Amino acid sequence: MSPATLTAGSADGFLRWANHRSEAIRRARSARLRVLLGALAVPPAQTTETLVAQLRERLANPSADELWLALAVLTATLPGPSAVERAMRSCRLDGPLAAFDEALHARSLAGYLRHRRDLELSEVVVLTGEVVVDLHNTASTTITTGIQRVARETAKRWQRTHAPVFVAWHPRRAALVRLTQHETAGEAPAIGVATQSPGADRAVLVPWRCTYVLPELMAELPRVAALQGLFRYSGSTSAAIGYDCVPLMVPETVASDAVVNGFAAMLAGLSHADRIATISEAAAVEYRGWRRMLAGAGLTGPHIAAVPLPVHADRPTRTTLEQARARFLTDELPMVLAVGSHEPRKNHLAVLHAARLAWRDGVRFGLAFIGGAGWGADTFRREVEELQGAGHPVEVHADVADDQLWAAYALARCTLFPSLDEGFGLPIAESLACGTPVITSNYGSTLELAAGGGALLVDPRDDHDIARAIERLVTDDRLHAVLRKQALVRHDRTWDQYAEAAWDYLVLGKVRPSDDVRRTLAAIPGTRV
Amino acid sequence: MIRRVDPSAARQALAHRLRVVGAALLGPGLPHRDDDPIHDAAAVLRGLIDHVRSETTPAKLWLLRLAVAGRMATASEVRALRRRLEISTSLETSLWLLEESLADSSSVSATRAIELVQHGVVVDVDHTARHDLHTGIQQVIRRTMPLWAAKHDVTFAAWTDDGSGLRALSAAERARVVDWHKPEYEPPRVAHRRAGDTAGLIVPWDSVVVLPDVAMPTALAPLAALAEFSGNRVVAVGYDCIPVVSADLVPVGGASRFASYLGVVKHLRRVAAISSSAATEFQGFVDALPAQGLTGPEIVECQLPAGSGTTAGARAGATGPTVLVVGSFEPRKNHLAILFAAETLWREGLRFDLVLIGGMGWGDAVPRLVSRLRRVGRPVIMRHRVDDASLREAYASARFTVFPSLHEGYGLPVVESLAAGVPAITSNFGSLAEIASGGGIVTIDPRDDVALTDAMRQLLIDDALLARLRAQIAGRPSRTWSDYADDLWRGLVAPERQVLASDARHPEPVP
Repeated sequence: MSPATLTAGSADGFLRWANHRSEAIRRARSARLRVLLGALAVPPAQTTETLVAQLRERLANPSADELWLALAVLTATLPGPSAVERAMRSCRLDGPLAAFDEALHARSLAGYLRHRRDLELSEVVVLTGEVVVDLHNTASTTITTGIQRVARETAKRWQRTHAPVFVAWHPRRAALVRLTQHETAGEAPAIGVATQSPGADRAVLVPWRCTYVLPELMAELPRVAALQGLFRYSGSTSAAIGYDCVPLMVPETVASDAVVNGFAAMLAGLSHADRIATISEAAAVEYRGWRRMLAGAGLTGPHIAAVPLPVHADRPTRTTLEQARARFLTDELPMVLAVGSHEPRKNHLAVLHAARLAWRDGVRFGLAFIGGAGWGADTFRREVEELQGAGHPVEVHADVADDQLWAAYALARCTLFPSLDEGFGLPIAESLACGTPVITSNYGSTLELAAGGGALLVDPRDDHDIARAIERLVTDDRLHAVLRKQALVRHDRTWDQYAEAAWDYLVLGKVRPSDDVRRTLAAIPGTRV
Repeated sequence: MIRRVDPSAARQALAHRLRVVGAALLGPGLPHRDDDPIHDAAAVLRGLIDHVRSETTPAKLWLLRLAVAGRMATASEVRALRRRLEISTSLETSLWLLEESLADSSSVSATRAIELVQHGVVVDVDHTARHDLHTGIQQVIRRTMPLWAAKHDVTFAAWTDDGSGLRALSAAERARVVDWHKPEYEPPRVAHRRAGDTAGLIVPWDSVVVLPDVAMPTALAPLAALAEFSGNRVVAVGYDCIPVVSADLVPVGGASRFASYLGVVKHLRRVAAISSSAATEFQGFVDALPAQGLTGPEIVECQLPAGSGTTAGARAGATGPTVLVVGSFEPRKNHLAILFAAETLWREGLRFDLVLIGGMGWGDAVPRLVSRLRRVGRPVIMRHRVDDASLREAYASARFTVFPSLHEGYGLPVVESLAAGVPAITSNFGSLAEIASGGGIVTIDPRDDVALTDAMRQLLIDDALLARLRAQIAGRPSRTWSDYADDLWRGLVAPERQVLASDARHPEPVP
């Protein structure tokens, strides 16, 4: 009885694929065969038939990695783990060519491609031994919030000092393309927009035995599968920056299920990464907790180390200061500044109630909120209206440009940030960098920042604790002076130092426990290292 | 759709609810009953607010809010009440409370009655009571709860349809939980009665609340608040964290639902994990909590029973011995690896039948592959709805079973295999490895096709190995459901009752 053909493909089918009737396509496919053989250290022959024969021989008994490479080059798309597994099984049963034929005609692939000509003609380039940095989100947006800022500032410096290959994802499929200098610097139009002339497309890059770095979030499911495949089978070292685990740890404060599901998908990908550099020790605590959970799936997960973000502020100009004074200050009242979007995690209802208690006790100060609407902000808005109606000095400002924000920090008596869970706590860092003392939560990443000086710590779940801290900082000039001095003499790292430390760990695998880190570790209750 | 509230019924219900809570909190200070429900409600409410203002505890806030609204409060509602009390007079707070309750309560909540269960043990078996599904979790509940009911004074509860709170079970629902394994039990012919609409609420107070079941999505927010504020000691059985650890192996949407459940877990006192592996998963979650200033529950292990059994010996199938695979058809169960291994062995000339039995999972890769195999004449069959007798028959005919799952909290198919005296091939990590350590089981790396194929080949050709494994199974330590039920009570409920009892003797000073 002849062996059953389980594979939805055959060696003949693959040969027909290689010998397509259109010359342009035939040439493109031959090119891919040559690129693949080259990457597998086989000097490519001349004719299509010989190339195919060389491939059959070289990959008669392939490793999963080699199959991944073959699929990536031949389909010009990065395969996910299930595609690699399927190819491995088909290869073992019916040989490599049948497996490739099957993959090239896979329903999902066809659906994705819709036989687009640009995919057919895409040049495929195998990168070997390079450092590849994925800047997809950052390159395709003009948002400058937390994560994009970190990715941009870091990429800028890496560009200067190490010149890695910056990549983004092809707009229509799971494939990587190179970013231009302009795009990397965020100066070009979004990568999602069609750029060059129709028909021409950028070369698709396949990272083989490289170091792959992800300094931003990836949450779209098709990308996750491709990244999983890359992490597991490309022979590359993979590393990512870990910001926080909020969608998993504080899901009740997240706007939508889609965010949580996207995040969980990303974690599933990261379970096969080699290294995660978290932006604080507290974020490392969260990621290590998650890593411990992987044991049930028989996975060890990545090495995790904290590479804390820098603390940085711009100096406001005199004009900006004057404008800010007019905008943010009420009469001659000292200003308590609350920065952040109005979402449950930032705990703004506690800020309002604590302010109420302090005003009731006769403490005189103005309360200014700077931040976007966030979600779940209806109660917040109602409370603010009620307070304003009763004559209390509280204002909410949206659409505040960066330079006005620095001015606001400079003018404030103190910044109030009793957030329930932060990956880093950017407003705290910014305020301290301006020399303005802060009131913030007595655990997690904000405690870490506070350890450097300039902060009063509170239990964010205790309104009275917050109210007392407001009173102290507003009325006690001596205390205020002490904390301000502490803030001004802080030795925080710069963006340059951060970029270098991040490179050292993510790319070179160097872990640098410093005195700062050890002291901070000791300060965090319940931390396990 | 807003149904009109019958004002008279709402007034009566409110007065009644306030009285129930008033009796618990005010004791002799409870005002005399006024015939007019409005006056009565006003008087009791005033008394309650004054009392809660003078002795504010999260539990009292929670109970007060429940009494007025006729449904369990969420965390933000409890916090809002705490803050309102601090800045308003009692009268203002009364009005505010009534307004808040009217604003978002359904007409049903307005007319709901409540009953306190004090110093008791309330067990939420909502999903098991209302459905005839009988997968892992339901099996555990239907084996354990009858034993608890026989030995201890427990109150079983389900949820109202609208997620207002816990309610008592109907007779049919209770039978679904405690009578399922009785020989005379028959599932009710009609679909589960919509008991939710008007049932009164069961309100645990100074009690232990046990969560061994799947929670309804609308119940998660009130459950989180119950755990965080109500003063009850809320505990759970921890099965696994698969949807967030292996999100790529579950349908989209599973992660967010489970993450919401973890939002309840972080406020629990104690979780009894069903295996060491499950305990590690929950412990990992607890490890992450200090980053948000929480400590989370204590994680203890109460291992599910993995019995032992003997078999008369496998009966041969049509072409040779039968290899049995039991498990729902989803990527996590790794059927594709088994099918590949089987095809490899068939090509080597080995003769055996492959029987796949499982509930409809999701994904079509497996059914499609099975069709292709059958079209080329391979002896493989797939069966879905299989009754208990047929399943027993399948095990009795099997030479061995295969279960190379990628992630399990426990692994009931392996346990069933052992109970039938049938050796199994399973995964070499997590809870499956724990079960395997007792003997009679071959473990392999489920991500290694060659290892799986080798193991299947071994068990097909090596009769001596098979005999050894069968002997090992017979010699396994036997652990029964009775053992588990006792362990679970001892590990999960008893310590919390202790805490409540000693709290009652030595109440904490009021801040």
